[in-house]
Amino acid sequence: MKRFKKILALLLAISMVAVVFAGCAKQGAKTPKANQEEKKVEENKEAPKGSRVFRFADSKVATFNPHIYKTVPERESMLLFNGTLLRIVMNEAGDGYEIFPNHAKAFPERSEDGKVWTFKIREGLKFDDGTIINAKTYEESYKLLLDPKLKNPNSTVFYKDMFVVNAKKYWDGEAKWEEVGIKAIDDYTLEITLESAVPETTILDAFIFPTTSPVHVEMYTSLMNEEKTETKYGTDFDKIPKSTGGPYILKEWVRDQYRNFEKNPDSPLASVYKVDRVEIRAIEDNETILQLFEKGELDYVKLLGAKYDKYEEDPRVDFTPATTAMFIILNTESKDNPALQNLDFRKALHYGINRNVIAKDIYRTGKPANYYLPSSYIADFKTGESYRSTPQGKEVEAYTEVFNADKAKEYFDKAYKANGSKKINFEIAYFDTNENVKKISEYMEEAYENLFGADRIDVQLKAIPWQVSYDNVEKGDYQTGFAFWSGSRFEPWGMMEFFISDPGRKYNTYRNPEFDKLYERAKTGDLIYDKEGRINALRDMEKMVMNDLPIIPLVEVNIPIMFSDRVKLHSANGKYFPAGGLYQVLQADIEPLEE
Amino acid sequence: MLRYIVQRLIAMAITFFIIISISFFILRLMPGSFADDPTLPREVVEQLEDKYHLNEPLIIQYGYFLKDAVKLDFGVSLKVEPKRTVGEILASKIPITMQLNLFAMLFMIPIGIILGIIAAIRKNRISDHLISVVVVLFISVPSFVFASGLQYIVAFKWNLLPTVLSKEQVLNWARFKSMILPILALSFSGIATITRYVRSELCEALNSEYMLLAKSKGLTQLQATIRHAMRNSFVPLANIIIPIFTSILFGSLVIEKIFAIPGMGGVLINAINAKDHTLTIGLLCFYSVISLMTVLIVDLSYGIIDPRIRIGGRK
Repeated sequence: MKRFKKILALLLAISMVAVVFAGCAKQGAKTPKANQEEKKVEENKEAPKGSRVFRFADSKVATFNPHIYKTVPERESMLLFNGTLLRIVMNEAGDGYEIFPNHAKAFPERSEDGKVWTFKIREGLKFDDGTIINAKTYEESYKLLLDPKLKNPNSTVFYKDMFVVNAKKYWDGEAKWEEVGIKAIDDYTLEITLESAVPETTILDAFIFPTTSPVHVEMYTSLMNEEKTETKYGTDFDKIPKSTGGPYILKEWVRDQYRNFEKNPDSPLASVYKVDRVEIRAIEDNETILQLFEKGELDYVKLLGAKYDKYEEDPRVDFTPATTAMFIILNTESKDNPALQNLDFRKALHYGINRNVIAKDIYRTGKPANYYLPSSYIADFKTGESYRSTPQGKEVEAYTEVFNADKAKEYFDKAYKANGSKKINFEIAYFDTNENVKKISEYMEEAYENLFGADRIDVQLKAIPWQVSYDNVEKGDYQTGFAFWSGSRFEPWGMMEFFISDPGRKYNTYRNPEFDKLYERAKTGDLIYDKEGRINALRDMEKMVMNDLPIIPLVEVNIPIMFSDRVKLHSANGKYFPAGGLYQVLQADIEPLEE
Repeated sequence: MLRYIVQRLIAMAITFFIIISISFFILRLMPGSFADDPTLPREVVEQLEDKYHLNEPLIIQYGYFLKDAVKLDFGVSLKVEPKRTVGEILASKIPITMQLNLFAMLFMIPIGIILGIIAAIRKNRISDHLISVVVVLFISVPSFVFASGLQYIVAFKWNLLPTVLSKEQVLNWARFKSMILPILALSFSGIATITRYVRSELCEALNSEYMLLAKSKGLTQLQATIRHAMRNSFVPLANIIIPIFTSILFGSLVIEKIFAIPGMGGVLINAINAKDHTLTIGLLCFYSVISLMTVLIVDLSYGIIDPRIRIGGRK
């Protein structure tokens, strides 16, 4: 027994030591080739001194499969090493941007009826292994994106905002590929046929993001399971091409730790982007990121929450306006609270919130919003003019007020009388995991009860998961629900889909045939090539919504950011240009790392 | 003993089956699904759910699940790390978590034992009181507070150690240096637990009659303490150390986030929040097996370490 105990103790000790070093060993057997690659990887870990490297921290990425990715960090990383037909870059002057024909030789030609778009593909494009990228590659890639067995969620790019002929039917398994409106006419000509005409911004939107990048078809299909219902493409560093003709090459990807990219000299964007190397660390703790920035190990940081207070006066601080509209949805058909059916009550709620308090005290860097579309949405993608800075955008801003206690009380008195002078029970449902939304709800509870009288209104707060909240709103089982809604900066008309009578999934009770008609005209009708007409339509649609108040807009969230002194942005005034995206930085002059 | 082990293994298998079945039904009955994206058309969401049989009757889904589970095939992650198998995810995360926590254990066990011995031998003296204060501090203050504090002071202000885990993939000095702070943060509560336990057991042992006998036979206090009291008081340590060993596999959500460690911490929570059923069930299976094995090993350890204890009641 004693011997057994000694042997047991020895085995335990050996196994513990072995496990301690288990994390050290590289995965898999080391062949000489693997050793060589390992050495290369070691060399790629840190930027050599003197290189123009941009370093920042971001969330981890779950996948590099362009057909299933979901998050912004995934998109931004994929845009580094994936090629796209089109790209947005800063213009020469640095005061706006322009469309850069990346894999396409030019912006696609449009047929007279606006339904057929033809791309001419550049020659000489390649994957990192030398496989050629041409129109046939693009067609095969889109075929995989729409594959009926794979059921890739990002396939909606071809049948949600623009309707490629038979794309949805193919995805449903009800059409053959030959019937789909995506064709490689020849090796360098790609033709997209739509069921209805769309404006140029819709095309731009579809082809500047990684979803419509080419995939390495051979690798993609070789990584499929037997039933061809899944593929492991994009799940690991060795299951993804290191470049699909993108401006950078993926040099290293250690899951949940870091990803490094080096400039691709063969990319059409090589002459536009100046940064040699991009290093992204997967760090999610804001305090840690800030410490690394202060130590000079990162070149970019977001100053979220209380972090902003310390750097408020720092000249390096700039702002990036969010594309997310933040508002409260009101159930105008509520049976639980019939007062919500009364427009006067909704107006009282709208005027009764002091949005300045929410913008400054809760978000610190927010901007009060008595309108739906945030400032980052662009009315003219050729000039970069923000919709909110147009006369039409300003007109909507002046249409109502961010706060007016007297008006709020006036409307509430009318609503209270219409309610039979009975106390109104008003429920605010907020997301249980969002601290700011909770603070806003608590503020609203206090504000309304103080303003209208606690004897006349009882505000109850309810914490629920955001998925449940959206579910309840969709089913109509709610009084209120918070919403964060975003879309493409270049397509603010797409944001108005939220209010049409039948968008497929309805998250509000607003139904207006006049609104529907105007939306259709702006998205697919006679206004699509009428720039001024479209902006007027946007104004009119916003006003219609504000007339009926199925939502209460709250604030625009401006995110304060800082770049390190090494980064000299390519910008007319040295400032961060909204809607330029992080890719404005790739055109920046970056001082080499110190020796 | 062998019969006892077999009986326990059978009971474990039944317990495991019950745990997994209940977990399966609870997860599937939770509202929402992995495909629930408010911007996706409802029809698309339904087709995505159909692909993974999520719209079929629960009992049919359970049948699919059991059919695959007996082959240890829990499918692929639906959302947290899409298309990767549960095995691949565990294989990529467990090593770093185990490495980190084993170092923490190698640090906390001897420190805890030493402090416990000092406290017991110097009972009610200043050193004992000081150690008690430290123990209370380590138990009361959450480990993430230590983690943040150590990171801010040692890494940021004093610049003595790296702020986050090094990018190095092999265990060299640079990598180890970057692990020191998280190891310390993870160790403190374990040190406190072990210290208290050893102090309590050793105090009791020092007052026992066999110690009086040992001293009356001519041994010094130190000799008697080392040869008899310490060995007897360490025996029950197994039921602390073995659970600590298995709990390390769960990782530490907050500490891993603070130091950017790509470990197991948070994987289960993320999987549940994302309604990633396959990954959640796979992880629950893994943790259930580990927990059940832990309980069995602790029970068996009593009989192995102390022959006076007969498992199964046989004299």
